Amino acid sequence: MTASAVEGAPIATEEVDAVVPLIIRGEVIESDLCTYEMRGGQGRYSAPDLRRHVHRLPTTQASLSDLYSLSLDDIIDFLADVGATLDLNYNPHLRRAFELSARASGLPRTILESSYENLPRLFERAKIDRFVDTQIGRAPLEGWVETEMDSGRRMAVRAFGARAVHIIAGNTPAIAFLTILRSAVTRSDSIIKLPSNDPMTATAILLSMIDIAPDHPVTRHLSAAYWKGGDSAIEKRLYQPRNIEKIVAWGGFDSVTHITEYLQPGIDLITLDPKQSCSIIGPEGLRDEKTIVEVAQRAALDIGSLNQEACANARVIYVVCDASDADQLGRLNDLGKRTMAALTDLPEEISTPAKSVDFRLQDELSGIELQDEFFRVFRTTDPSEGAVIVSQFDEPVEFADLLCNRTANFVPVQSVEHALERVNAASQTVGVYPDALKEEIRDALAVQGAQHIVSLGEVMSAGISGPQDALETERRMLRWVRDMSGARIPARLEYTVRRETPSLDHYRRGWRPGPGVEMAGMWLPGVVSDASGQLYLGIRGVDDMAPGMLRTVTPICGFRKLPRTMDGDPPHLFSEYSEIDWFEPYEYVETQGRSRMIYESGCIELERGGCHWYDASGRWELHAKTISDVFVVHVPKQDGVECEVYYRHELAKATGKINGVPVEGYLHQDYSYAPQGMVWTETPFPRKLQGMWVSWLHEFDDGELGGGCFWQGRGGLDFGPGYQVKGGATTVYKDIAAKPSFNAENKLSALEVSIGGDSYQFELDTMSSEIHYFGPLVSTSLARAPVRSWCWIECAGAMLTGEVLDQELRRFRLVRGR
Amino acid sequence: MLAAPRRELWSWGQPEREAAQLEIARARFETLREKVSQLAKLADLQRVASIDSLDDLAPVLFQHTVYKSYPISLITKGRFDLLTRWLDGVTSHDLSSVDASGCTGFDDWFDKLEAQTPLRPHHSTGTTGKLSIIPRDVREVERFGRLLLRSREPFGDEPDPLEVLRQAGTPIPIVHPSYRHGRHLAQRMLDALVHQIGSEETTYVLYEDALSADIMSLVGQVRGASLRGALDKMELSPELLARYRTTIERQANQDRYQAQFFERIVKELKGKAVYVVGVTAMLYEWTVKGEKSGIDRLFAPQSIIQSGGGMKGLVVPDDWQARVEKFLGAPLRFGYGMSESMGAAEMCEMGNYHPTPLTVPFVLDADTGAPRPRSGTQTGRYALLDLITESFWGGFVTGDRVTVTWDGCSCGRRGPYIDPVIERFSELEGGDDKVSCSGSVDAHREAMDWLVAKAGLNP
Repeated sequence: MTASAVEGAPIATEEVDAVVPLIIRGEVIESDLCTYEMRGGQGRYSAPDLRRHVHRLPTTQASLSDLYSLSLDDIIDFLADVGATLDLNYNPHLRRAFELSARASGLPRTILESSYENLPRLFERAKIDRFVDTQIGRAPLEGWVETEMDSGRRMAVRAFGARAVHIIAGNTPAIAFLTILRSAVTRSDSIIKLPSNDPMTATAILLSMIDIAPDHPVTRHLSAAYWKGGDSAIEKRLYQPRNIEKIVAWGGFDSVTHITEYLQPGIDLITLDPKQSCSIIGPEGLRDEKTIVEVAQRAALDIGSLNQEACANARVIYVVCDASDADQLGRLNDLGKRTMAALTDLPEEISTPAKSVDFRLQDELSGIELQDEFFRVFRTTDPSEGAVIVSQFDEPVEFADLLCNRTANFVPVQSVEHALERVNAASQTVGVYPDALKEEIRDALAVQGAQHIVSLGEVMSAGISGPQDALETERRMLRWVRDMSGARIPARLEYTVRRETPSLDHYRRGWRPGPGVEMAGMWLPGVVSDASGQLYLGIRGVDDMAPGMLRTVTPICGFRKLPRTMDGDPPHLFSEYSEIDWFEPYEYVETQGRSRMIYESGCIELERGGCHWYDASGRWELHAKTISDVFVVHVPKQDGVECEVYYRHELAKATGKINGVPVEGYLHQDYSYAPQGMVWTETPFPRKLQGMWVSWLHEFDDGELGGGCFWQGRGGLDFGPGYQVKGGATTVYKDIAAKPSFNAENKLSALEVSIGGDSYQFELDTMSSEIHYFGPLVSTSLARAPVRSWCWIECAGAMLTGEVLDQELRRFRLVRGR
Repeated sequence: MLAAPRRELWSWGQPEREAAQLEIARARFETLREKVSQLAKLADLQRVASIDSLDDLAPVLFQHTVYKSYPISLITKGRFDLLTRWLDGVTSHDLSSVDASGCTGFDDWFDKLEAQTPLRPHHSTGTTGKLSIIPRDVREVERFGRLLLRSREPFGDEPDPLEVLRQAGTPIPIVHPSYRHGRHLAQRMLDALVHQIGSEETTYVLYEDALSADIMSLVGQVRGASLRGALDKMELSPELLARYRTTIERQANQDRYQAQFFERIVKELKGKAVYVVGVTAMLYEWTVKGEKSGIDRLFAPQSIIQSGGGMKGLVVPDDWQARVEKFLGAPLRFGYGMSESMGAAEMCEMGNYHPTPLTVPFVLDADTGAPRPRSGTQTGRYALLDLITESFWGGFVTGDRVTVTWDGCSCGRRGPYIDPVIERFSELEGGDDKVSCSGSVDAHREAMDWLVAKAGLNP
């Protein structure tokens, strides 16, 4: 509480004048006054002619940036400071607002006084904290809230304030408090259009802010103005997408319909339109006199609080009973009579006789009062005290829309279902007795359109937490901005490389590089050429998509003859493999020295020193001698790597025949290992780690063989595991570096590789697909130059995304069962 | 007093007039509270045991809502037995033996009531579909007819316009651009005129048959649903629509029928002395049409043009009345009345309405409902007690705000007169910051369009 606010003496009523200044972002304007009549002829007040100032109301979106220099706690602290000064006895602004409302409002002075005494508590720190937690959540207001998505993508969301006009209702001053609270915690810029029945509460709060901190960013983003609703000279100018993003409109059907004239793309209308509320009382409510008295008191609270000025107040109350049974109808009439008695007994801070009596309702009541056949009317001789109408059959009065001044209509219904039928989208609050019934019917109520379901008697104690009219208003007021990132690549990837001397076990199907993983696919590619230099590529995948199956890996590989071009669409060798990806079940046979995979169209044999690959019809036959040790890379699970994964590679010199033509080149075996059930394309390896993969073999004039395999990380990822075979020895590395060159079509044209102290230069002249390159080793740092070489590079760069790989996997959903 | 000529009644001073009124009012109250249960209940609620002054009557006047205090669902559910029971509560006639079972609608129900009882009820327009039902009986209808003619009786040295009109001795042509028959007050009035001063042959109406109370209620219900935005929930049986196909079609093609009717009037009645009953807005439309065709002084100057009902939202120039009178060739005569009361208040040449001394006028405080003093000039809610009615309670509070001056109209008539500016309280409602909407005309049109579409008609 600031010192100045408490030191002053309490303000006498006489000092209150009736000028409502215009507040524009901390500036107080009291010139160009116009006089306005209050509703119901209760007096007048003056306010600056907004037509002269409307051009100053809008601000730019960029101006909101100052609100981001504050933490949410700074904002809450400020609101709490302001709240501390809002003492009706000492704060002249609030006092003036109260005195004006006391004349303009439909509520009597007693109820208003207790409202103005209690409402500032909404600005207590603990209350705001809870409000923020229940309505929005702190995190998105304070910063970007990150969520990990499929394929390791990340989404970050933050809620930003928007520029809004709030056309608030004035049936209770709580709406002004709530609007300012909402605006501040959402870091919005708000222009509050004051209602004629509460012309100054919002202004008083803003004036109190200005007293404390005129330049505070929160103060500088709140305005309050009065203009006559529907004044197109003002509204046409203001309601433009360049000025505002949101209109939060409380109020009647007419005024909201009117606002829709200004709607256009870029303006979001949030309507909190007027609603009616009802109650449903189960048969238990008429059980005995004690219950009837309790239900009468609860109903009276829901009907009478705030003098039935709120939309949440009960108006029509359905009671499950048999109207054709005299005893039950008698009990219902007794409930009506006792409810009327309870209404007159309500304390004056909660409910009083009406300030002004609605004559249309009185006319209707007088009309039905004279006959008992259809309706019973319970009321006192003073029409301002309210009335209770008890329908004697299952229909509400036709003038139910007019029910006000603490007037309710009890309606007997045969069953709860009959009551539910009458609930619709205009039913804001439904009070239910007893609670057990409430739980039973709440789904049905909600489906019918009810928005707020509450225990009978608790309607007006429900507070401001939670959704309003089935809307999350605060969340709607915000602009929810999304930031999407690709898969996170760890800054420092942890991984190991090793080499193992091949043993027969390595070629058994059950071999694993470590605990916790299973084989997630094995591939056997042959990269060979004939005497003319014609290059061939053939691949079979084993267990790679479906366990127990071999496939031809057709979409991008298959069996092809590779012309020396970069077109990337070479012809297929065998027509049967040219259309679809072939799957064949295989029989796995372990013999003493080898493992055989026998399938309809051929056979693969693996042994410690090499492997053999036969086409059943003799078109393809390769025999290979292993020239390397078994190379293994292990990437353990770590931040950015969702599961551990192994990659294994070994290189073999191949000879054989294709369609009777002798060929030579290499065969390699590579394997992936991952947690059970995964296949290679699901692992982080191809999704986020892999930038480039190279496998090559070269031969010197004396028949000595060399070659290797290595990876390069994607983007800037420092990932260079691999090995080279030199002088018959296999050496593994973690730091292999390859420098690619690209031609004008973004195709890989050359690669300069350094491994340990050695370097290799490849030139690529052939493509078998968009990502697969082939070409000779053109120079090395070795002592002598190789005479022949076969090199295969997979270079997808950023194109190999989770989505692309998942799309590939869709074809295997049936066979994989997921 | 009931028999005294108007010329005489207009000369009575307030003490004399009110003493006579009090005597009749007291007798009516005493008799009817025994026989009309709703009056008995009102008297009990208001703790009124006896009437010692006219002001004592104020608390026991019925609200205008009483004659439509039945639930509308009785009509939609066809519970005319219960509607009869409700009506029993506002009339002195015993309706307990009326068999209203099997009634299919208002029209049918009225037929049965008239066949089985002396009741000859009439109904209001019922803009929301709920018709006020005023339970007049045979005697009152007959008396109403006589009073209607007497209401034209002059005062002072004024000539009697009806006498002048009747000098020709032949049946007077009567012009009413609406239905010939029906139970709406306008049709009851037309019946009286035709029987007393005209003939069926010389009666010019838009439609020769009867205005249906059911169709009136139906249009009102549809209109109400349209205003509430609930037309999609409205269900009508095909039988009902089929039954009223003709009337729906007529309503939809009203403009064309009106034009034909206008041509017929011009052709057959030009220059004749006639009695016209028509709403002002329509007479103005005739004038505009007539002016375009160069028609002037359509009727003989002694014609009586009875009008009222306001302009129905039409925007008219300041000189509209002079133009209408020039076109018609006779002055407009205005009255202020309502379905619930027998005698209308006729407008004098000073432009004030004079309630007939056979009704007791009241000005009630708009907030408290207490009677304002019966002296000076008073503004408030208009209420009246109709002394003519004997079978139902004629005490009635309107929804109108009026200004009554208790004596001294320069026309010479003594007694209270009502300022011509009369407003509906329901239209005065609404705050300073009310956003206006022009709902009503659109709603009627939407209601008609909806009915026409439902009935499968193509206007």
